[in-house]
Amino acid sequence: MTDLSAAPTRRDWKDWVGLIARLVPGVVFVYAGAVKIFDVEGFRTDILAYQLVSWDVANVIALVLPALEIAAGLLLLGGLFTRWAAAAIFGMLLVFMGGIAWVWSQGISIDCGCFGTGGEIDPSKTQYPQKMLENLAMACLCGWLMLRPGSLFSLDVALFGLPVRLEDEDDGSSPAAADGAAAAEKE
Amino acid sequence: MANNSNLSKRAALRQQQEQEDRRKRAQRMMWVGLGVVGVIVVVIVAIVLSQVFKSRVTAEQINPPNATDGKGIRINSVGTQPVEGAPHVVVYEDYQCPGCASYETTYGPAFTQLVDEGKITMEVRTATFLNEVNKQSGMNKESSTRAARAAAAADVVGKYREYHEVVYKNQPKHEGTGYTDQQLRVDFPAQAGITGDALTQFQTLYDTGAMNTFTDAAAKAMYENGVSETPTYTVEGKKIVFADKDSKQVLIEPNAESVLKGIETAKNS
Repeated sequence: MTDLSAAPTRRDWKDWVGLIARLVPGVVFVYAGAVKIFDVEGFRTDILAYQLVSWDVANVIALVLPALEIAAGLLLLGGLFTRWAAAAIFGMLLVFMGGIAWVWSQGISIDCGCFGTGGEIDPSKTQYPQKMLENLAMACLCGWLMLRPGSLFSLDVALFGLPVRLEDEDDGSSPAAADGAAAAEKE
Repeated sequence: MANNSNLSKRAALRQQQEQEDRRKRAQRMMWVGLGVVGVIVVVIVAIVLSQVFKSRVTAEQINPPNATDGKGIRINSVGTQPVEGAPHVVVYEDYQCPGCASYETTYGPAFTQLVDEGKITMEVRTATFLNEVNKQSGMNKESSTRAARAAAAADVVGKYREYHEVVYKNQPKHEGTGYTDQQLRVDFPAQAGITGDALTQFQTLYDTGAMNTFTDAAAKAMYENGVSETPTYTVEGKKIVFADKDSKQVLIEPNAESVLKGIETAKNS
């Protein structure tokens, strides 16, 4: 049996990166969801300002999206199902970037509606490049976690422990480091 | 030999143990995962239900008596009947839109004159997307929606035309300030000549939200008609052009004759 006390220290710089990659999008998404979740009609108007989806679709998005943002954000903050939570946020960010690219290309001048205010604004006040960069940066952090979900202080490890690797798929590295190792191989 | 078989036995045992650990871990993850999914589903259902009940706790929903199929409200003429084949003008507006107020001031009298002379018929469809400006300013939230509801309630007591005019007359200078409930349910009806029992009825309709379904449907219809700008004046689906967009040349003067000509031009375009 592997002696757990002999496991290499997990306080590796990559785990710190993982922690930051969890906290930044996690906080942003929980906040973004929280300011919208109690104002369904207002958020629906924000969505309609993109002139991209029908009224009924906007209605469904307005009901569901804030809850999903909060849920994925909380999972990421807590480090529970890190890879899946990161994938969910990554997916949402792709959709948001698509939306911004759309209004940008169509010459529609709106506030993105990301954090509870939205709608038409003066063309000089649009922040499309900045929003794109913000989303891209968060997408990169989520991409990191999708490839290497290991990080410090995660519920994944607290609740489930480190992944159990079977003898025959053991590549020689200690099972205790396997969490990160699988991802490290792909890098 | 004995040693060897002992080793393989231990290896097999270890493998069995690891498989067991892995199964247990997967099972634990599954339960926690199901729990998380369950919580998310419950929260979303709660939000949906709260929205449904928010619009249900109100009084019985009624339509304004002059409501049209397109979720507008007809501007009635005073005393006359429209002539045969009079063009029907549809106006898309938002009560917080500064452009709408300036068009109302400039062209409104000419349009109402034509309605009163029976030369045109007219309906106003009310959008509410400028609720956004109240979110941006943090003042009097959902002023567009509340003004639309109040105006629809005014139609029930026969004062839509007057109330509609009063709101635009009192539109705040700064877009985003919006309207207070005091203005919408006390000051404006007073200016529109709604008094006594009619005032009580008007205020009850406003307070209970009896017009909510109608005004929501109007906002939806407008979006689905692809009208994304206010004010938009149309006749039989064609846009009435008041000024040339590029040269800024005024095409329609603010008098009944010029407006009627503009309507005919748009209709035949």
